[in-house]
Amino acid sequence: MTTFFSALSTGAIYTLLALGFNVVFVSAGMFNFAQAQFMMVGTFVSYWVAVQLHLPVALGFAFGLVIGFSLGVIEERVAIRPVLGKVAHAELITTIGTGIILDGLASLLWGTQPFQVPFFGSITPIKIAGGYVDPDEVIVIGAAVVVPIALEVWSRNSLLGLACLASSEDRQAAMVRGINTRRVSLIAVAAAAGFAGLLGPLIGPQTYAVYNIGDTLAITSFVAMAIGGFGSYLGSMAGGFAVGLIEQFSVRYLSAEYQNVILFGALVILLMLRPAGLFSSARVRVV
Amino acid sequence: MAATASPAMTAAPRGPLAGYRPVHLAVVLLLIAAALPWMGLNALWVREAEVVAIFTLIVSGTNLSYGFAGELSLGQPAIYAVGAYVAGYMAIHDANDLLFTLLVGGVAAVLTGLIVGIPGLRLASWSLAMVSFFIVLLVPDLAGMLQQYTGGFNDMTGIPSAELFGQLLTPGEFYVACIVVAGAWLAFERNLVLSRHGQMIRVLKESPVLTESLGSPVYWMKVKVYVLGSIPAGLAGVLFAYYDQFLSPTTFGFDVAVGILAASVLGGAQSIYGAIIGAALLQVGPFEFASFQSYSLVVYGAMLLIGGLLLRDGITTRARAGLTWVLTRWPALAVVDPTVPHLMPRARRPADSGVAAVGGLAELLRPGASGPAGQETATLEIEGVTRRFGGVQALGGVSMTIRPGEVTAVIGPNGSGKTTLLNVISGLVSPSSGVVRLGDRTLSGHRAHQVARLGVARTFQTPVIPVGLTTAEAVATSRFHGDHVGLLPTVLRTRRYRAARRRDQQAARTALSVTGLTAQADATASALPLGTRRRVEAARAIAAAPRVLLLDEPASGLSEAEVASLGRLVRAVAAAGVIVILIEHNFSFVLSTADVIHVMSVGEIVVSGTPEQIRSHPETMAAYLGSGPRAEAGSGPGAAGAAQATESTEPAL
Repeated sequence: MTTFFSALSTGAIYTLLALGFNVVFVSAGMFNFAQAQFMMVGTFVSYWVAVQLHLPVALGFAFGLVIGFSLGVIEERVAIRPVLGKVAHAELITTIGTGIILDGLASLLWGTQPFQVPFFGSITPIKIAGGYVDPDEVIVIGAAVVVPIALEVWSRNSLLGLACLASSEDRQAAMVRGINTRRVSLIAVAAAAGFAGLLGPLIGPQTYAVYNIGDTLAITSFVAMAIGGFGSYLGSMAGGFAVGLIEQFSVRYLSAEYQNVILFGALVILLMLRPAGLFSSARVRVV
Repeated sequence: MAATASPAMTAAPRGPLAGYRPVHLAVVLLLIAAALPWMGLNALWVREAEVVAIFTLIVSGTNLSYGFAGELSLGQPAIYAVGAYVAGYMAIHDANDLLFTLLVGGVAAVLTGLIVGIPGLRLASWSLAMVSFFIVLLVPDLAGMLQQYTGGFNDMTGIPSAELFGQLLTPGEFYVACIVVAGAWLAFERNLVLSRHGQMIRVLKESPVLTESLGSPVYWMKVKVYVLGSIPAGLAGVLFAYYDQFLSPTTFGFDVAVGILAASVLGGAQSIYGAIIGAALLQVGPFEFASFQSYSLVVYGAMLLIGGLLLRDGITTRARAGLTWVLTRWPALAVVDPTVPHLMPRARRPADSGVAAVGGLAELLRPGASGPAGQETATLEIEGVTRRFGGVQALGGVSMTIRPGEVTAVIGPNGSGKTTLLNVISGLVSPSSGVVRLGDRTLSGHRAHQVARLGVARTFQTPVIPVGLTTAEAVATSRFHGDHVGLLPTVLRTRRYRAARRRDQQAARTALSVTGLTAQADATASALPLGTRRRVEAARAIAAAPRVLLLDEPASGLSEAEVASLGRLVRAVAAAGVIVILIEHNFSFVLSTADVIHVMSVGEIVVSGTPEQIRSHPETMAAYLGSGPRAEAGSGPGAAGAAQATESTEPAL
């Protein structure tokens, strides 16, 4: 049961990251490789606030949000807007570059050693159904259930949500209908980055603050998206938890070194059989 | 549209440079590079140069798949690792012959490339990046799982020096081997990029839809290019195993992937020999890879960001224009970058004459046939074709029969389903119900590239012209499949390839001449004005020698004189026995060109008839074209009381 809970809580982190990827994917029609690095920055910010500045841990949320959002704005302006839709495939390079710069800055500022990020609440494990789970894990799992549902409802009912869908579907057609697609893409990238930063104090206690954690997180969240379907928020949730379960149980019953190989196998099979994801009926345009 | 005879053939260099080709300079440079150890280069620098050669291989693989084809791979280090481990294992276990290990390493790279590429390319470009990045993370895990073969985290040690035919290679000879392998790969890559295959790769990067319409299956083509780009990484791994004689999984990590990508972008992802510059910067430049410091992540990241931004119009275009300027003046330097379009090899072109062109057109479209009687008897049958997009009925049961030699025009207001009809015929959109047949072959149900190979060529409303090709080359791309030559004969430039190339040039010449583009044959096609690019599209479709020609608004943006000669061209194409379907808004053009006109509205054919019948049907004109036929100059008063147009809600014919 404890394995099950830790599977859920790592799965929740993948879910939350996948949501960030998806928000950008849905609104700007691109894959922001730096998204996972914003989450990494969030964990360092909360470490900085709580341990280095001795401020209340909760302030980490505010700092994470603001710093993440600002970095997102900068990235969109500098790395995405100048090339997206103008030079084929250039945004792949520029967003990877952004992510690596963030990796490098974090390692310059904080070094390459992992730091433990303190949790703001109780750290006594709770016993549920015969297994133990930490309070911070419970909150992360809760967030990974609530946020996707909220996003799904929002994207189908709010004007901005529909505008996001419209501009990823056909930028020109959306522009003609009076949607400011540049603004939509700016808001999406910045909001996703702010969201990732905001999560710092929640996920930091689990992942620790490590300069290159983004690289592996990005891969596993990508698998989560592939399982759930690119562009689907509820799919991200299902995919994230599925990846968490696959990981934890292959570690438990096989060995740690099989974890990634099994995940890769799952990814390959999925991409071959259901490239649009298990839970998505939407077609991903190939041509 | 009188074809102005192109004034200047590129004059062949005379005097001492007669017969010189840039490739000779490349060979000389390669020989000099290989001879360096005997010219006093010290052992330390020889080692450095070996690493540059090894990195050149990996970087140039990235260039091929990302720079030329637009598919980003981050997995090069993993393929590099596979090559290294396979070679190391073979060398330790008494199979230590450099040629053999290179072969095995290459095969292993191909297999790894397939494992990554086949799933990774199912979705968009970023999905390949992620899947290929994933295998980099797997290297330590797999090395650990296969510990008995790889040594795992205890490293693989004791790899002997390379042997060739039973002889142990001296350090100097091994250096030469590194240079030769890198040189051979670059030669292969050059011949691939500067070939019909290379031109199709540019088409692929520009537009998957165009690629399909020209007869290439997009997905398999991507897999092919990606796998080709994996091979040099595998070869590099083999050389590296001998270089270090010791392998550790930590050598092949994420930082290598980042460095390779940065080197590719810095050296110019769309260049062939730029890989050497990128690799040299990586190894001996200011960013020395060996001393990977924490600040180097920031530096590499910044280089990627800036390099990516430089791909944008403007700076690189200008830099390229500058390079082109230099190279056109001193073609001897073309070894620097042979991908500049103006310098690509081409045959001499005789001065055009209009008469020769028309004869050439018939010969192009129906080779071997003489006289006007067409052998082509197959008709294009469209039977009850419907197509729904979600809740929208784009086509609601369209039927028509088109005979060879006939020009059929489809007119109607925007959104009436005309382009959808073309898309259904060309296989880009499959019909919800109904059948499209060409002779006894059923077209519907086939993919676009299969339909294209059955002889259906088309143009697009918005011209799709790949970047970096001359007009003549862009036009010849449509012949890639009709006159196919495999990859190996292409790279080796066999007689068969050269013959196909000559036929390409002949066909392109004819197609350009009949579309009045002879003067633009050597211009960069993508930079031409819109109306001209539309004619390039028509020329490309004609050069394919199609059985069915689909023209989507070919006349928009053309001048009156150009429209007139387009009309003559369309008639001439039909006269050669081709089935022509024309979608057009220019009503007088349609009236003067078409044999049969179908008027469409909300997905159905509402009126069909000859031009005279349609012209005398003012209600139709008012309802479906928004206005009556404008007074056509010289057409006289409307022929009142002319034959009745067939009118029905059911499709006519």
